[in-house]
Amino acid sequence: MTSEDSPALDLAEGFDPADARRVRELYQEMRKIARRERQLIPSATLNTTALVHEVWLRISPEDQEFRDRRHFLGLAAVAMRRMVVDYARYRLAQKRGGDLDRVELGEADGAINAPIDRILDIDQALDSLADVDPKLHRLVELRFFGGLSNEDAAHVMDVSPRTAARHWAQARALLQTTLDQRPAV
Amino acid sequence: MSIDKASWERVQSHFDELIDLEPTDRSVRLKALTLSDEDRSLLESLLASHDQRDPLLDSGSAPSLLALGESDEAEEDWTGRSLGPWQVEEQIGRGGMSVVHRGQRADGQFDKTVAIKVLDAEQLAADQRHRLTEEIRILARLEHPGLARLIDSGQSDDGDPYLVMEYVSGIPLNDHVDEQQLPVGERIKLIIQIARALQYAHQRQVIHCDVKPSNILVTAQGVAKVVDFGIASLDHAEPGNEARLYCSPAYAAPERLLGAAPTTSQDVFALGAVMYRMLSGRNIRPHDAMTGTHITEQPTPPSVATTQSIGETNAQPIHARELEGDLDAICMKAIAVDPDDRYASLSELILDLEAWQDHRPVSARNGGRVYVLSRWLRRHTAIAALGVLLVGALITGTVVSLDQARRASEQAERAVASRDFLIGILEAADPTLDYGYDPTASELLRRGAEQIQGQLEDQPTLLVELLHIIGKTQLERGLIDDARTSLDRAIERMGADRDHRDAASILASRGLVAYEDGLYEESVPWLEQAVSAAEDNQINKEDRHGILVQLADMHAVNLQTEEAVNVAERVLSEQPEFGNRVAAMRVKGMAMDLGGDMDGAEVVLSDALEQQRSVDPEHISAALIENDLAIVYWRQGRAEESLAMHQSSWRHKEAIFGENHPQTMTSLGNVAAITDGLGRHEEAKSIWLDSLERHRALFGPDHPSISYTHGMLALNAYLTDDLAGSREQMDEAYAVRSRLPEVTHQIDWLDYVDAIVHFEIGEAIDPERLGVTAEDCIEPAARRPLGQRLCVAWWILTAERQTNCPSDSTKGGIAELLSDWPERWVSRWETSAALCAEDSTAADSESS
Repeated sequence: MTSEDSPALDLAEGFDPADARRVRELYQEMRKIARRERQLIPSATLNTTALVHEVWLRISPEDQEFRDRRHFLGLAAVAMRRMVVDYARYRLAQKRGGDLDRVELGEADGAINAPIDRILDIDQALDSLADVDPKLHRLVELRFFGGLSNEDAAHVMDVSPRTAARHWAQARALLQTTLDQRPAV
Repeated sequence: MSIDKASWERVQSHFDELIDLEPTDRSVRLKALTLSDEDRSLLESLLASHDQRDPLLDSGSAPSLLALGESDEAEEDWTGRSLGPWQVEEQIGRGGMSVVHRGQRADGQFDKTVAIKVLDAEQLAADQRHRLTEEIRILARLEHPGLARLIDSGQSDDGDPYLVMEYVSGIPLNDHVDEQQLPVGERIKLIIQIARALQYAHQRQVIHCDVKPSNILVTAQGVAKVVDFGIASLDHAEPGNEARLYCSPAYAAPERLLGAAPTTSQDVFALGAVMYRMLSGRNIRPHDAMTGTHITEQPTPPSVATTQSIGETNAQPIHARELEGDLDAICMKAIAVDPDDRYASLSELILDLEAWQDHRPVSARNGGRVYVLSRWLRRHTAIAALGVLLVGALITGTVVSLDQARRASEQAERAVASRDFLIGILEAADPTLDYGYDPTASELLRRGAEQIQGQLEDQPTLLVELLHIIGKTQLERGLIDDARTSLDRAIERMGADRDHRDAASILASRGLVAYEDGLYEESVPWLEQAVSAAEDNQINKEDRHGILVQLADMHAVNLQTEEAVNVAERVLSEQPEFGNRVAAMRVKGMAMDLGGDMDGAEVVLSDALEQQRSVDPEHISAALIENDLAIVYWRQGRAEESLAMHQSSWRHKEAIFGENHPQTMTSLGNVAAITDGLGRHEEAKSIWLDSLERHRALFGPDHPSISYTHGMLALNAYLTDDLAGSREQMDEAYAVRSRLPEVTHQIDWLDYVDAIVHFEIGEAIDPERLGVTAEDCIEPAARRPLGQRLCVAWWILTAERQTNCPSDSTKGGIAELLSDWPERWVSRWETSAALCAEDSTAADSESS
C-alpha cells in the first residue's frame, strides 16, 4: 500500500474540504476514464490513448508516470476516498454547527445526516478489511468511494464482472458484520 | 469475536456456497459443516449481514450520496453543443436512458431539422455496445413511410452514442384522435398503418419495445409515424443490478413488466393496448402500474370500458354499440395475457382489422357458421335484400363461396404461418443456453436457414418461401455470401418450373447478389429470368415493375444502353406507381447519357428530379438522380452546374448514410474531381486528402479507392506543374495497386498519368502508353485538361518517331492551346512540328 499511497496523497494534496468542485472533478474524470476504458476496448476506431492522456494531464500535470490507466484508477480511488471522507466530515460539521463529537438524531435533516455518518463508519470499518483481504479492501474503495460500477471496478481489478460481484458480496458482508460489532459510541 | 485474515480464509468458501442456497437448504447445509464455534458464529454473522438490506452499500456510493456526480451529469444538457456535424438545439424529450433534442446541420449545408437522441453511455453495458452498432446498422436500413428514418449516428467526445433521426412534425396519436374526434373507421385505418410499419420492422428483426401513443406521431397529412425505434431493446439491466425497465407500464405486455426479453408479441400487445385506448378512451391499466407486478387478468372489453370513460376528460371514446363484437374481440385477442393467446404476428392482426373493414369474418371471433354467414350476408347486403325466396339458393351459393373463402384464407394463413415460423426460429434462441452471449441477427438468419432445411424437407413450397425471406433479408443487410447460399438453395428447390409464387422475387434477388459480387454480366440473365417468372406467375404490377427497373439498371451497368432504355420505357408506358416511375426515369436517363444522348438524358433526369423533389426531397432517390444529372452536366461541359449538383448529392448522401459511408465518399470524390476540372486545384487537393483519410479509415491501406485517390492526387499535382509531387503520389498509387488482386477499370488510367509525367521529365516513352489514338486527338482542345496533354504528347512523340503528323487544323488547335502551357511544351512542340513540316513538304513535292 505504501508505494501507492504517496502519489495518491499528491492527488489529494492541498484539497480544501469545502471545495466540492475539486472532488466532483476528480470523480467525474475517473468515471469518464473508466467508462472509456471499458467501452472502447472492442473498437479500435478511436484513439483512446490520446483522449485518456489528455484527461490525465489535466488531473496531474506534473506527474507523467501514470501511463497505466488501470493503475491510475486504483490510485484515484484512494484519493477519492480521502477527499470524500474529508468532504463528508465537512458537510457533517456544517450541519452540526461544527460539533463533530455529538450525534444528534431527530434533527430536521437527520435523514441526511445518518447516511453521511455512515460514510465515515464505512471508512473506518474499511481499514480493518485491509488486513483481512486486501483485494476486497480495494474493491470497496473503487466501488463505494470511487463510485465505479461493478463492471468498471472489475475492469480495473482485472477480474470478470461476475467475480467482482462475488467479491462485493463478501466485502459487503464483512463490512456489515464489522459495523454491527462496533462498540456503540 | 474479531474478524482476522485466518478466520476469514477458513469460512470464505462456505460463505460463497451458502449465500446461493435457499434459506432452508442453507440451514441444513450449515449444520452439516464441521466448524469451530468461533468460525460458525462468524459465518452466521456474515450470512445475517449478507441478508440484511443496506441501501447505501447495495446501490449507493459515497460520491453519489454526496451528490458529487449529479449536479453536472444528471442534468447534462446538450443544448448548444455540437455532435459530429450536428448542432444540438432544445430538448424535446427525455427517456430513462436517453434524451432527445431538436437539431440542425452545424455547417448549414443541409437545411433540415432532425431529432437527435443521445444515449447515456453509462447505462449501456459493454456487451450492449456491440449490439448497438448492429442495431444501428439495421435501423439504417429501415425505410418505411410509417417509421422515422435513421439519418446518422455517432459518438460524443465522452463516448455517449447518439442517433440522428428524421424529425417528425406531428401530434401524438391520442391528441390527434381526440382533437379530430375521428370516427371508428378512421381510427382503425390508423391502427392498420401503424401495424404495417411495425410489421415491416418485425420482418427485419427489429422490435420496437416501447409502442405507446406518445411514440406515434400523426402528421398534418394524417400519416402515422412510429418514432424512437428499436433502441429500447438494448435496455437490459446490467447483471447484478435491479432490473430497469424503460417502457410505459400502461402499454407494456405483462411478461415485459416481469422483465422478459423483448419479443414481437410484446409489440402486438402494446399496439393492442394503444388500440384499446383509442377506441375506449381508457388505458388498459393505470400509468403508475408497477413493474414486477404479476398481471393475470384482462381489462374489461373496450365496449364496456367506453361507458366508464371518465378518467381523461379530453378522450373521445367510440360508442359501445360500434365496439361490441368484432372490435372487442380483436382488441382483447391482441392484449391477451398469455402470449400464446395473442395474434401470433402483426400480419394476423392486420388481416383481422382488414376483415372488419370489409365486413368479412374476423378470426378473433372464432365464430361458428352462423357468424360467418352473417358476415357474408352483411358483405352481400344487396343480394340479401332480394328476399326470402332467394335465401335457399343463397345458402347453397354460400357454401361454394365459403369454400373459396376458406381456401383463400388458408393461403393467407400459410403466409402468416411461414413468417411466424421464421420469426419463431429467430426468437427461439435462448442466448444464455446456446451461445453464452446474445447471438447477432446474422447468426440467427444463418441458423434459421440451416434449421428449415432439415425440418421442412417434405414441404418444398414452404421451404422455398422461407429460404427466400431469409435470403432477401441477408441481401438487405449486406450479408452477400449468406444471401447467395440461401437464394441458390431456394432456386434449386424450386426446380425448373419456376411456378412458385416467390419465383420472380427470388431470381431478382439473386441477380442483385451477382451485382453486389461485381459479376455485372451475370446479373442480367438472372433478372431476365425473374421478369419471365413475374409474367408467368402474374405477380402484381408494382413488384413486376420493380424487377423490370432492376433489369434496366443492370443493362445500363453492362453498357447495354439501348436495352436499358427499352426496358425502362416499357415500365413507364404501363402507368407505374410513383417510386417505380422515378426509378425508371433515372435509369433511362442514365442509359441515354451512357449511350451518348446527353441532352435527352438531361431532360429525363431533370424531370425525374423535379418529381422526386416534389414528393419527398429527402429520399435517397433524389441523391441518386442528382449524381447522374451532375455527370450529364459535366459531359455537357457545364462544369459549375455539375459541381453544384454533385455537392447537393453529396450532402444528401451524407445526411442519409453518414459522412464515412462508401456512397457518400463516392460523391465526395466526384466533387473533388469536378473542382479539379474547374482548375481550382488547391481546393480540390484538400478534398482529395480528406477523402484519402476517410478511405483509409474505412477500408485500411489496400483498397482500389485508395490507389485511385493517390492517382487523383498525382493528377492534381501534375496539373499544378508539381512534377515531383506527382511522381510521389504516383508511386503510392502503384504501391497500393500492386497489392490488389486485380486492376479494375477504376484504376487502369493510372498508367496514362504515369506516362505523361515520365514524358514531361524528358523520358523517351512509347506513345502507346498514353492510351490515346490519332482519332482521339484530331481536336485536342475539345478534350479535358489531361486529355489535351495526352494528345499533344502523343502528337509530339509520333512526330519525333516520324510515324504520324497532325493535320493543319490540328496543328492550329495545338498552337492555340500551347499559349497557356509551360514553356517546355512550346519548345518541344516546335521541334517536332518542324520535323513534320519537313516531312509534309517532302511528301508534297514528291507528289507534285
